[in-house]
Amino acid sequence: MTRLSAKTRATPTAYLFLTPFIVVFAISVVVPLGYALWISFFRKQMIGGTVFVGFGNYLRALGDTLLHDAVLRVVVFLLLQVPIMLGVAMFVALAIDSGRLAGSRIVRIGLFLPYAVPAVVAALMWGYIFGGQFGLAGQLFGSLGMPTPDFLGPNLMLMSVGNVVTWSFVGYNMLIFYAALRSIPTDIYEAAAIDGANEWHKAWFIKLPALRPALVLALIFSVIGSLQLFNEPSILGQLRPSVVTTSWTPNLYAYNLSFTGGQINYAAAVAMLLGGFTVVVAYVVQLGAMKRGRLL
Amino acid sequence: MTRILKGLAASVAAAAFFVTSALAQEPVEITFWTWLPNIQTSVDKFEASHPNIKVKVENVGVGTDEYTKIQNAVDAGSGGPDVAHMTYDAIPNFALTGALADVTQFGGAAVKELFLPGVLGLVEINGGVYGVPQDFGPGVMYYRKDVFDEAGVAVPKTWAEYAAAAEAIKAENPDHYITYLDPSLVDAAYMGLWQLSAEPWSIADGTNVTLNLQSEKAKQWADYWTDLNAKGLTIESVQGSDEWFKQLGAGQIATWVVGAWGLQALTGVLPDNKGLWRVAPQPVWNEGDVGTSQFGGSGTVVLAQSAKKEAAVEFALWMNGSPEGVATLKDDQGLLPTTKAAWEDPAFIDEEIEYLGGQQARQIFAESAKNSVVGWTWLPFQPYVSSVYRDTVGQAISGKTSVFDGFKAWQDRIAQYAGEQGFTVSTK
Repeated sequence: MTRLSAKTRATPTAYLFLTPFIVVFAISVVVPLGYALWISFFRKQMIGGTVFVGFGNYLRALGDTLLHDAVLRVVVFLLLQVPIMLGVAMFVALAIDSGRLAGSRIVRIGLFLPYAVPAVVAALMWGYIFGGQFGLAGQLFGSLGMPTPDFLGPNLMLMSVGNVVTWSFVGYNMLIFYAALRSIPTDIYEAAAIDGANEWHKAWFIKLPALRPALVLALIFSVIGSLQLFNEPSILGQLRPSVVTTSWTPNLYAYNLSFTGGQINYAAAVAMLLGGFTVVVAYVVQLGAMKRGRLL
Repeated sequence: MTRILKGLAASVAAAAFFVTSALAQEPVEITFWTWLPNIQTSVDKFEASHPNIKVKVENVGVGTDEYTKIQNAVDAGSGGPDVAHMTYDAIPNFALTGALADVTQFGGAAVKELFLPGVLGLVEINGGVYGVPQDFGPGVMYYRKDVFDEAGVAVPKTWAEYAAAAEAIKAENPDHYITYLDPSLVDAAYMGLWQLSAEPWSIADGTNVTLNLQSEKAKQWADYWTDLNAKGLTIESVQGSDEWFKQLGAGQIATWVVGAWGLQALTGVLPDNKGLWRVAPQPVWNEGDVGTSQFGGSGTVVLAQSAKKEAAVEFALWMNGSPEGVATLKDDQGLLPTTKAAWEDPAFIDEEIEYLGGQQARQIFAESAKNSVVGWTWLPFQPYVSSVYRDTVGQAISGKTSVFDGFKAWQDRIAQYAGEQGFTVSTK
């Protein structure tokens, strides 16, 4: 009886506690999203005003080669950068968790620290390092008597951006993996030790399978981050403006359409498409990871 | 002439007094968006003489950052400043979409008499005056005297001599370049096309846009720089970047063809270079020519949505046009004034500039201000035009390919955009 009454009272109380979240969520997510969707069906022209164009902006975006190139670029980026970043993060997490790494605390903090550096500052700093003529890289290669690779040139820019992103987020992902490893009950290790397993066996047969949920989570975050690439290329692009064009990534394209071209409606359509694409890719990643989980 | 102007200034002051007393019942506060770091001194002086108008200075970012926020406020119908700092290339955009007030309608009729015609033309749109000129950039050439002396080459007067000097400077020291090419610096192209009267675009009846970036004159400018670029006589660098300033400071970049305001940047960032730089007129294409162009500059605009337009206009006019306001702009802000009176004041024109080795630099500025080719127009969607420069011409500059082909790509992007915006586009 007491349990039941507690339950009935809990419902309105729960909603009361949820209200701040619901209000903020509505204001900061639902309303802007709805607004973006709404304006994506119109076209505002300097001459002729605003007209309803239905899916016109979407059709245009689907045939826009600038957008295609931008999406292709971030997909290539995703395929190259994300495995490297997660691989390094996982390796370091395993090394720290093994308890055999000297000074593991310093490694942990040192790797995590870049995550605390704002992306804009990080990109500025790396921009200085990459600077061919007066930058750190230039001085380093110069002192070795070697020509400095053009890190911000058309061939290496994507890799340089990947470098900045990896540097920023390895520590963050490492921490997710490390937390997942810490949650493995120690009796499993004891059982494994009795069965004669060494550290490599433990890593392969216990730790890696236990990491899968964390890996899926990190992967999804990374996929979303890659597809929304913006800060790093826009800052590095200021150093080499002809390499990072106004449509270098889909997000940069949407930004420039909106803020230098005043094409907010088309930009909204591009953003909605990019959002949809991101959801699909993230879902496929999750589905794939889950399926493989069942097979193993 | 000076006396007439002084009389005019006095009548403006009288008008200002009248407005002030009319407003005496109701003190107003106006918001002023600007990115000038030291403008508060101007504002303080204005407030001291106009106790009923308070000016609240807000820095919301430079250039596009500010324009974005203004555009948002215009779309929303409120939230914008009363007065704003705005570069000349952005003013037609906002004026034609109804975001700005015609200052002559709100007590600013004197603006037509006070300012240099070459600058006033930049804020006159469709018969209205959509802003008060603040500063401008008559084109000049700053050069490193030491680098030129070392190479034993005379200061070039024509672009042909400039190309020859480029060879000599590079031959003397392979690390030295006559100048830099910045793939995103659209102003360099504007300046070049402006000097040539190339008329890369024009707009008629507010809706008919004609693009002509494939003209003989455009080709002349493009081919000249394609040639210097291909020969390795220029270095790619981004104006305003740390690296670029280091290159200037080290003498690696020997000339900077820019608006006269460049002196402010040099003295501010490269104080150690004192005495090394000089200024000369912008080179011309044919010996005997005098035509120059402009690079940069801003006006002060009043927003149409402001409820305090009279006070806003009064402030804008006082800051940029009154003798006291102009003195503050010159001395405290280091801006080049745009009033006729300022450019007839010998104390201003003949001052010896220590940084430039005691040169009477403003005589050269004044000469350029007088000779700036008139008739240059900005398109109502100039920010877009400027933004895609690096996607098109910038690619050619970086790749050391034909700048003229870059112009073609640029024109195509502009034409497509203009069409999407509802303009009738024709290309020559």
